[in-house]
Amino acid sequence: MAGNLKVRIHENIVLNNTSYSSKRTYTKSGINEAIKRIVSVSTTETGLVGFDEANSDNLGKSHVAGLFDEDEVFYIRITNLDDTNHIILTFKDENGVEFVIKVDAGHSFIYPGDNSTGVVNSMRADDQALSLSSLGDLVDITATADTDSCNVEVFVAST
Amino acid sequence: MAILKVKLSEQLIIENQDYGSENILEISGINEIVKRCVTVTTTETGLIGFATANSTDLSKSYLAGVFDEDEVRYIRITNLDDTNHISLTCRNESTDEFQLVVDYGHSFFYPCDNSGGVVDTMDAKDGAITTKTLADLVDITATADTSSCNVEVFVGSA
Repeated sequence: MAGNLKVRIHENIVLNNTSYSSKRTYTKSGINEAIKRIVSVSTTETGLVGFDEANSDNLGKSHVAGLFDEDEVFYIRITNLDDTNHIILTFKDENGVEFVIKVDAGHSFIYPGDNSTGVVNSMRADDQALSLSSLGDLVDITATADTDSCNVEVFVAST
Repeated sequence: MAILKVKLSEQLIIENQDYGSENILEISGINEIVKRCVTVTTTETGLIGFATANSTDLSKSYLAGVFDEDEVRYIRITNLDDTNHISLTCRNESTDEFQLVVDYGHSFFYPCDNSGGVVDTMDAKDGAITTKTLADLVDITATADTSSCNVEVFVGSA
């Protein structure tokens, strides 16, 4: 039976006797598939999560935490569980453009997909200013540890 | 100085199996906070900027302010709308940019470095990035897609 995903973000801080705390909740119903997995990321770039059309028979792809139907993925979180070293995540779209971002020890990256189309038409990247035009489909997320291998938690939810 | 405690939890039960998870990030030495709700229109608007300490560059305009690039420790942007999505564009000092859709209800975290802030944290390219040379994030802009959206910006800085 499908479930409801409830994501809670709670920041708690008091500065000079004033609370700046905040709570936000995101809920998505009809979640039918989920993966929650800890993987070890080495200093060699490794495929972490892939996205493709339903029932893809492309065996050329290898992703440690699996392959998901691109238009049914609604929540992706990657957390660097290491207590010292950072990792680098690389996001690639269907046109081969990429962006990379550092995720330091303890931090999480959430890929904010579309509530009805998943990761289809959800990103762009360029080595110059972008104009607002069509976005491409996310096809994979790879990870590279910087200094030493790091454990990473991957959480993906899909209908 | 204070400790910023961020609890990120997922609750999910499928076929009587619990897939729930909870992660806590604690960042000490936080001295500045911005928690602000801003309206983002369909015209690209500066949301947050990052520069060296005591920047006197008055040509930049960001709704939620400018932060010292090496002292920022936490950035969250949440789309508070109940219908429409926004696009966020992150730009680095080399004018490389990436853009992401943030649909209603979703949040975007920019994962800062625990000691270097947003210095040397991102790169973007019209092709494969073979050598990962990271550059400083200089700003995040936002554009609503169909109609104006309210957005919550939360930034913690040392």
